[in-house]
This record gives sequence, structure tokens and C-alpha cells, in this order.
Amino acid sequence: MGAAVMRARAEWLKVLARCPEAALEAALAGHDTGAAEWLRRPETGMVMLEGRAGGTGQRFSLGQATVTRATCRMGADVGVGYLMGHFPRRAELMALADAVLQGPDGPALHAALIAPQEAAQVAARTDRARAAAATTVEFFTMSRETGPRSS
Amino acid sequence: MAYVPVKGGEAAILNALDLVAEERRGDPADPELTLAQIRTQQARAVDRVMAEGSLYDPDLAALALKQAQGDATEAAFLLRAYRTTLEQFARARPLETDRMAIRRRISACYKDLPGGQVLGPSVDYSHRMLDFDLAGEGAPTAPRAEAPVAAQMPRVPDLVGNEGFMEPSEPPAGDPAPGDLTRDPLAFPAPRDIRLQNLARADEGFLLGLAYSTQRGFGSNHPYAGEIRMGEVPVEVVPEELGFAIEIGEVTLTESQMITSVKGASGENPKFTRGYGLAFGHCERKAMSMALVDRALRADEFAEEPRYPAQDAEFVLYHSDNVESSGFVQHLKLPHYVDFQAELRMLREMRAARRATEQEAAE
Repeated sequence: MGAAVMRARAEWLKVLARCPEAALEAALAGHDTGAAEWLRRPETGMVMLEGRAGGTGQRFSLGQATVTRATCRMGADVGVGYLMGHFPRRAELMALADAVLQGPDGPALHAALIAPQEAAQVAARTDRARAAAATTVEFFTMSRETGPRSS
Repeated sequence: MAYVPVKGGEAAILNALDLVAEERRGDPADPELTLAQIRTQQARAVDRVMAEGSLYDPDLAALALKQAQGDATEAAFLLRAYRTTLEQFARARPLETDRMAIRRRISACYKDLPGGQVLGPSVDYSHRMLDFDLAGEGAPTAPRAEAPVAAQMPRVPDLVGNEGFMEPSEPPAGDPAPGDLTRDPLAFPAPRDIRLQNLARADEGFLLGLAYSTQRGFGSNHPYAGEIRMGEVPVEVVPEELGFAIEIGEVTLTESQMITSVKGASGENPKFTRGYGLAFGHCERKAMSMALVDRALRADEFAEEPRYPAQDAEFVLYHSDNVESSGFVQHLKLPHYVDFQAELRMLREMRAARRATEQEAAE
């Protein structure tokens, strides 16, 4: 797999891992995924999350998180689903989508699913960041003569 | 002595469980709680259960809270028990808290810092008065600023570190994989990675009490809240099928960097030392307590004489886990009929022997 393909897949997998189930179902409805062969049926397990002392130092085991994964093969393409939480159906759909995205129908699915979902995820993140920004402290210096003055 | 199995009580136990189920549901005329309601409207309880259950899964934590009737310690126990049924697929890549999508970030050390003081969702600067409006319903909204907060913000201790005043925080040579208490039991001396894992899942109340003790004189540190940040951090794994890292979602974390008094080992320049706290969810009390206790447990690194409970790793780490503590304390509720009868008989024999001795002496 070339570096460009790896980067592209990592980008869409990141979006797919956060996609709601209904959006995945709807986008895949028009694609023939019946021929998919399951190399790994959806299974829920855990990953161990790690932190670093001081944020940058020695690694430590922070605690586990549930994850669900699935792997399918469609023709020459292997699709991977891997996401946080206990979501077998989403993992299955994610693997199918990953496989379709690598094939000839990839650009169409990208336009129908990845692009709008990515936009929605960015919008949600931006909204949270704007709500946080509204709580940023604007310090001002008190001056006896003139009252509050913006610094 | 051996445990003697006693039969009977089965019907009583089943009925007791039915009674729990009935009481858990409450008045059937009231609507039943949904897991989504617990997850989103009792989110701090969910966070605590995930942290102490040492398993990040808000849906399961909400279920555990519902099952435990809001008892956070019992809910954490349920998560710990559940996780033993799951296989661990992989270790995620170390979380990079400097990539956190900031929702709150404050420093008690610097007024003006890059990115600013972002209060986020906080009641810290309010009177804690009961809000009777909440007895009713509503859909309040908060204002949005035009521009979002910076996508990434530097961590405050790293800023101080740039000036050379901060104890550096670098990985050991080779950046080794950490130990793991879910695989290997606690042993002493416990290295810092093991201590941090233990503290991250420790009981919040126990940690808070210990942290408070270090401030009240059972410890000698004067800490500053260098930085407290809360927000979402991406989780990356390298699936074996792919061989490259992918983001599989994100976790909400609270990170606390405590900066503690100047130390100068002989021949070294004095500088700030630090304690570190990191835990699942929005949990500042927990993360700050963890950081204070982490620093206290580093006494030997700074040639501080360990004199207080919070500096005693065995005392802290052996008693911090509420699943273990509550199991051992509450096992006392189980039948000890035979032990007790044995002790009673021993007391009777001792008294009889004493009476016999007294009689002999009197004759």
C-alpha cells in the first residue's frame, strides 16, 4: 500500500469511526455489498489507553476502552472497521464502507458519505470550540480614575 | 480453617434480588430512566464510574449506574467485572494531551497564557446555591463566540520548562511500554508508571482525602495548579490488518499538572517539580488529587524523608482501589457462623479455666 493510499484511508477511517449507524446504512444501501466475505465478524474487545507522566514523559497504562472491530474482503480489497464502544453493526458497516471506498465506487461513496459526515463532524467540533471560546476570560485593568478599561 | 457450605436461603436470595429490581424501578407511574438520559444528564457520575471502573465506555457506565441505583462504587465494580469477559485487542498509542480539543483550560500560575484562560463548563466561580428552576424542565443554551478556541494549546509546564525552571518530563531511554496492573499484580517498590495507573483508577474520595492531608501538614509541598485542561483527545491504534495508525474515536479526559515547590538537590540548580493527574471524563477533583498524591509519592526522587501517609506507596496503593476495599470490608456481611461459634467456645473455655483456677486458689 502506497503512502498516499494509507493517508487517504486513515482520513476516511477516522471519519467512519465517528459516523452514526443510520448514515452508514443509508449511504451503503445503494452499493452491492452482498459479495463481502467476512475475515473477522464484528467482535467487541478492549484496547489499553496510555498516558504519559507530565504529558510528555514516561508512558503509563491509563485504563481500557471498549472497541468493536470487523474485517471483510470484497474482491481484491480488504475493508476494516474499528471503532470505540460496543457497536457491532457500525463496525460491520464501517468495514464494508472501507472496502467500497477502495474500489471503483469509492469516489461516489466518498462524496455521498465521507464528505458530508466529515463536514458535520468538523461543524460539531467547531461549535464546541466556539462555546468554549465564549468562556475565555478577558482580563482588564481597574483604574480608579476611569473605571474598567480593556487591556 | 475450611469454609463449610450451608444450604438454604436460595428462595430468600432470589426474592431479595426481585425486591432490588422493584425498588430500582421506583413508582411505575413515573417514566423509567433511559440510558441516554443517564449518559448525558448525569454525565459526571458516568465519568466517575468509567474512571474507577477503569473502562472507557459511557454507554456501559450508564447501564451500570442504572443497575446500581446510582451507587457509583457498585457501578465501577460492575464495569470491572464486565471487562474481565472481554479480550484486549491491542494497546493504543500513547494519548497526546497537547492535541486535546480544549473545552476548559485554566492556569493558576499565569494570567496571560497562549490560548487564554478558558473557563468552559464550570461552576467554580459561582455560589453553590440550589437552583429550584431545575425542578422544572427547560432547554437552556450557552452563547458562542465568533472564533473558536485555538485548535491546540501548549501545556503550561512545557512553557515554564522552556525557560529551564521546570523539572523535565521525558520518557526513559527507549520509551518502554508501561507495566499493567490488569496483567501483573502490584509489587513494591512500585515504579511511577504503575503508581499512575493505580491512581488513575483509584477511589476519588480516598485520593481527595490524601491530597487534602498533604496540604494540611501531613506533607510538605506547596502546590500550584500549573494547568488543568479538559476536552477530547483522539485515540489511535495500529490494527494488525493495516499496519498503520488510525483514529478510532476520542476520549474525554481531564489533565492536571501540579507544580510544586522549588527543590535543589546538592549541586543542582533549584527548580520546580511536578505531579501529574489524568483521568477519564470531566473530573477535576480527581485529577488534581491524583497529581498531588503522585507528587507526594515521588518523595524518594527528591531526597524528601517520607513521613506521612500520602508519601507511603504501600499505604496509598494497597488501599486506593475501591473494588478491592469494598470487597474486603463487605465480605464481613457473609456468614461467619462457624468462626464466631469457635470464638465463642474459646471464650467459654477460657472463662471456665479461670473459674477453676480461682476456686483452686480459694480452697
